[in-house]
Amino acid sequence: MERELIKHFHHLLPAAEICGSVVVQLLLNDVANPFALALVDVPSGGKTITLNLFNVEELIYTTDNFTPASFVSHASNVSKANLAKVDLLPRIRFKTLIVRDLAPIFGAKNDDLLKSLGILTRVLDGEGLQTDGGVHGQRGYKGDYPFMMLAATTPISPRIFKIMGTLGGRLFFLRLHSPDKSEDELAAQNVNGDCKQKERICQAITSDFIRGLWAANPNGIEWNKASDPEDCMKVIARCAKLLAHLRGVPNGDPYTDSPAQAVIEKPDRINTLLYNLARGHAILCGRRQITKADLIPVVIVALDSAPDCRGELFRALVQAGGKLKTSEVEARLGISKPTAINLMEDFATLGAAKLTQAATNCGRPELEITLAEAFAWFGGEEFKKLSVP
Amino acid sequence: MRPKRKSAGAPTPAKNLSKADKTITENTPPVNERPRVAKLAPPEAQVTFEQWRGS
Repeated sequence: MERELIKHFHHLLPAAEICGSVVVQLLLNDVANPFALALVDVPSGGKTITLNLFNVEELIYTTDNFTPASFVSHASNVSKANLAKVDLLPRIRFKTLIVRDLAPIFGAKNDDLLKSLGILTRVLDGEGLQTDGGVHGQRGYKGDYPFMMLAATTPISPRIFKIMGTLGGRLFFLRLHSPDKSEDELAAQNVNGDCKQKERICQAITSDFIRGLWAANPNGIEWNKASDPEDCMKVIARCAKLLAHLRGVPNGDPYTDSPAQAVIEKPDRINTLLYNLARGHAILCGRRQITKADLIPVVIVALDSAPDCRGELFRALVQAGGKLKTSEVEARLGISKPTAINLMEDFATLGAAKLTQAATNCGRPELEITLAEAFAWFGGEEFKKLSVP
Repeated sequence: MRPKRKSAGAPTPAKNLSKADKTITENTPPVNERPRVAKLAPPEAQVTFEQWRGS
């Protein structure tokens, strides 16, 4: 059987490339921020297959389920001397944590979710974690604790994004958009394909590929940031600014005289993380400098990490030339009118677009959004080429 | 005769919980000394990006 990903899992190739770009960031000596990427798709969409490709024993820590509290344990039934053996954080340091299902965390009640995401947010700063408990007092790890995280989840409800927005989103998302198979394809799959065998072959070749990169760089990679092209850096900065706006939490009424309020994070951290992703992709391709090809994962991840349908609406908006009416939003996204209006209002509040009454000759007046000046670059040819490679 | 009570002596200072019970591991080696690159077994075969991905 052929040892190439494209022959067996053609539709998972972009996701595998992006996941690989996350894992190899561990080779960069200057990386301090963990990159956490969650693959999003319906069940049986290929998420686990993609994650399993990176099952390189010494480099990966896999778990099917975990609680953020396990990063630094305060278990009362474990002696203090043994608690360090239970802690997850030192075990994933300089490794990639693979979580095959985030649903148990995302499915928790709001209070528990807030607590879990709070811990995850802190750990994803890469500076360790110190927590206080009534049994063992203060415990934790302080210093340089970077790691990478790959996870999988089914589509995420808006409340998760709302809570993450409050804490400062650290998780990036990648939607797999697995294609629907025809009856013939499904029938042939049972007759011809031994999926597990294909998976094992692809795992083996991925393992060899990753091991080869580590063998070639036993002391890590000192990246010459100054040699990266300025136009590429600007594209990354634009994507970071866009994602910061799209991830914002709107909190106001766009029709009042006073400007609507929105909590929009500063794009600095996203900018660093997206740059690291681009560098990871460059390393994967055997380069020591980023090029335009490394911006494709950046653009995809930036738009997929936007909450709810905002990424889809933004894509639709730029495809439509920068203007969309309510009825067009409904049709393009397959959503109801109230949802479309809410989404358009959110765009206006977040500064991604301007909301106006569309000029009509007949029928009911409609709302219209126009791409904001600050994001005009996304309406151009360069973005089109990057978003549709 | 009642046994003589032992002198309590000087009062034992209260245990300083903030110091005694802390288990914080500080680990911030200089950047160039970080053991950040894991040691992996060598690959069984050399695979390039193009070979891995396929075309």
